[in-house]
Amino acid sequence: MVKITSSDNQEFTISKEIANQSVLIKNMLEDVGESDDQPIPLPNVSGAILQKVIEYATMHKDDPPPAPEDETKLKTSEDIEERDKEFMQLDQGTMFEIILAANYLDMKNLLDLGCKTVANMIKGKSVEEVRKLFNIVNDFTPEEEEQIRKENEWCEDR
Amino acid sequence: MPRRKSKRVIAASNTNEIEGPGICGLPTELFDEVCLYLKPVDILNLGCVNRRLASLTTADPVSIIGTPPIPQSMSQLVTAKKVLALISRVGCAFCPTKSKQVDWRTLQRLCSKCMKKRRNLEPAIVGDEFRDWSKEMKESQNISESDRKRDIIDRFATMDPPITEEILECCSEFHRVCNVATPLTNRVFTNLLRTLSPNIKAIRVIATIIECNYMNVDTLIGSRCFRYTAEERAYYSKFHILAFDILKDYAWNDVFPTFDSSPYLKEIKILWIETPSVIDITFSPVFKIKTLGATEWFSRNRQFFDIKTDSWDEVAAKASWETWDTIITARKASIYRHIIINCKPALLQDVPDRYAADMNYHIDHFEGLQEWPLLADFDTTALCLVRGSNNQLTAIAEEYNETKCLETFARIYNQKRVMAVSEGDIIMEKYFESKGMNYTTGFQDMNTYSRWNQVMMNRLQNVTEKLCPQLPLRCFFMLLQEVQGNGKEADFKNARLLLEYLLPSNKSFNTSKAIKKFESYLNKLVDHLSITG
Repeated sequence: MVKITSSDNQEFTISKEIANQSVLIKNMLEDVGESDDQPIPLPNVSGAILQKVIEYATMHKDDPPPAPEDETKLKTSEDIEERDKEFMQLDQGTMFEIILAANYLDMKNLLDLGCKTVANMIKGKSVEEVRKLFNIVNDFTPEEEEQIRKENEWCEDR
Repeated sequence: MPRRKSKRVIAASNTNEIEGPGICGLPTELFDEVCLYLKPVDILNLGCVNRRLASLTTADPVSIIGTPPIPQSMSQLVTAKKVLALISRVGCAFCPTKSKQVDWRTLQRLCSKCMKKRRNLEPAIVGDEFRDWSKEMKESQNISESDRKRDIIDRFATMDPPITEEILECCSEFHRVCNVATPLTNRVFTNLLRTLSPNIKAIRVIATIIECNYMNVDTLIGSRCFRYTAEERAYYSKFHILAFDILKDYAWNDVFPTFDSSPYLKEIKILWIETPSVIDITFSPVFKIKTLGATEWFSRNRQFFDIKTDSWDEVAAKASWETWDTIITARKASIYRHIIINCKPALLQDVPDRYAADMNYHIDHFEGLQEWPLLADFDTTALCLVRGSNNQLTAIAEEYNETKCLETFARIYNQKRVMAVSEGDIIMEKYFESKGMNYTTGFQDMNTYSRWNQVMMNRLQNVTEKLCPQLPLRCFFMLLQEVQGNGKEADFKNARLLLEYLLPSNKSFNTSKAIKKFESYLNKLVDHLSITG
């Protein structure tokens, strides 16, 4: 078993196979050796987010090793598993925190899942819809806005 | 170590009320990661949302959509935004056509027609660097064609049953549809499916045949078929006909519900005609396909050649063939017997030398026939009278009509006999017909025929002299050829009518009337004569 602690000092005990899904933790374990039972500090991840990440890792602990990446293959965000879709039904704050945590912990599958989910949210939306979705305020000046509108005439409408 | 350096950027412009970083708080590399899943148009839209996203999306497009980097020297003239806009826009710069093609040399979106028309347009920027970059861009867009191809292949793979990449690669149209520069929407895919489906069907059928390898047929004809002589190939094709027939009844799937075998049958028939000797092929060990009715037997007993089963029932197939062969032999023998009896060998004396020259050949041939044992009580000379075959012989028992068969045979035989004495002269055939002579009466009375023929020739001569006084002799022979059925006109209808009119049996013949009656036909012939003359 492996002990990890979050930025807010919550301690989690997880099995080695779950821990190994994070390349960061895996490398650390290899570095310090197994005899050390000191908890591994993860100062960039809060307890609540770490809880979710562990939930994801537990769900995927029996997955076969990932196939080598095919550079020629078209990147698609349409291939998300159903259980992963359910997992990502979170508030946006948590979702972006998970993406950052996945990047920090170096968990490729979770990072890809996060990016795909965000991409799916953006796809096919108008500028105004994107603002509304992510609660973003338009901070362009009217002149800038006019300039942008002109530039984007004739863009593909769907 | 983390896969990426995580610089947690909380932008000043982030007025996000949602707790946490939000999309504007994503570090550049993670934002780029999200963009990998987006279309250029989505990225352009993101750039219009606020200043933070505008700055993230104006980065070099190489990191956003994987296109070649814009050289530093022209970064003022060609911006990432410009590249994205060119890729995203749909309209041609010169006409209302929707187009996805970008002419990277002129930095304009052009439809293929305008592209052709405006080949001589100046490049947008002069210089080698720009020229190289625009070439690279063109190639990188070709990669998007390979993406489209991948997309098409993936869609076909999800069908039931799946259409594999191998099948698609065999389709002549496949590469063309991959290069079409329209987005692959469901509607476009449906059209594409319609274009490819005949091709796919054909390839699947061939693939099925190859897969099944016609094991039963191989068993039937033995390893000899692998020698692939012309005859054997043709012979093989015969089974393919059967196979296509079987295959056509297979339920394919919803996308390809019906299979139209006619084009393949047509193709096979051509092969068939090119190698007519197919019927002479003997296949081991027992059957002889050269015998009459073998084809018919195959088509009625295709269960022995069912590609769905692994082996064929040799005993049952042999028994079936033997029964069939016995029936057909008996029928043929019966017809021949009838003709020989009615014809009377003595009538051969009408044409004493006709068969004499190659009598031995004929006798050899008949002794080799299956009917021979059933007709052996006749004089071998008499047997030479009866040659020919007819499909009616192979009718199923309930439909077999010997009288009808006999009539057909007699007619064929009669013609052959007439042809033998007259060397294909249709005028003579008409003469015998008018006198009611046939194989049962013999074809004597040649003196009367000479007079009859003379009347006919005089009539023809009168017509030609009046019709074409400049070239009467050439015109005469041309018309003679016509009425004998060897003329230039593809349609013998007119020639036949003229013949009937010229025959001595037509009592109301009149030269002027004849010319008037066949005016247009004769004029056409004379025109031809004067052109060639």
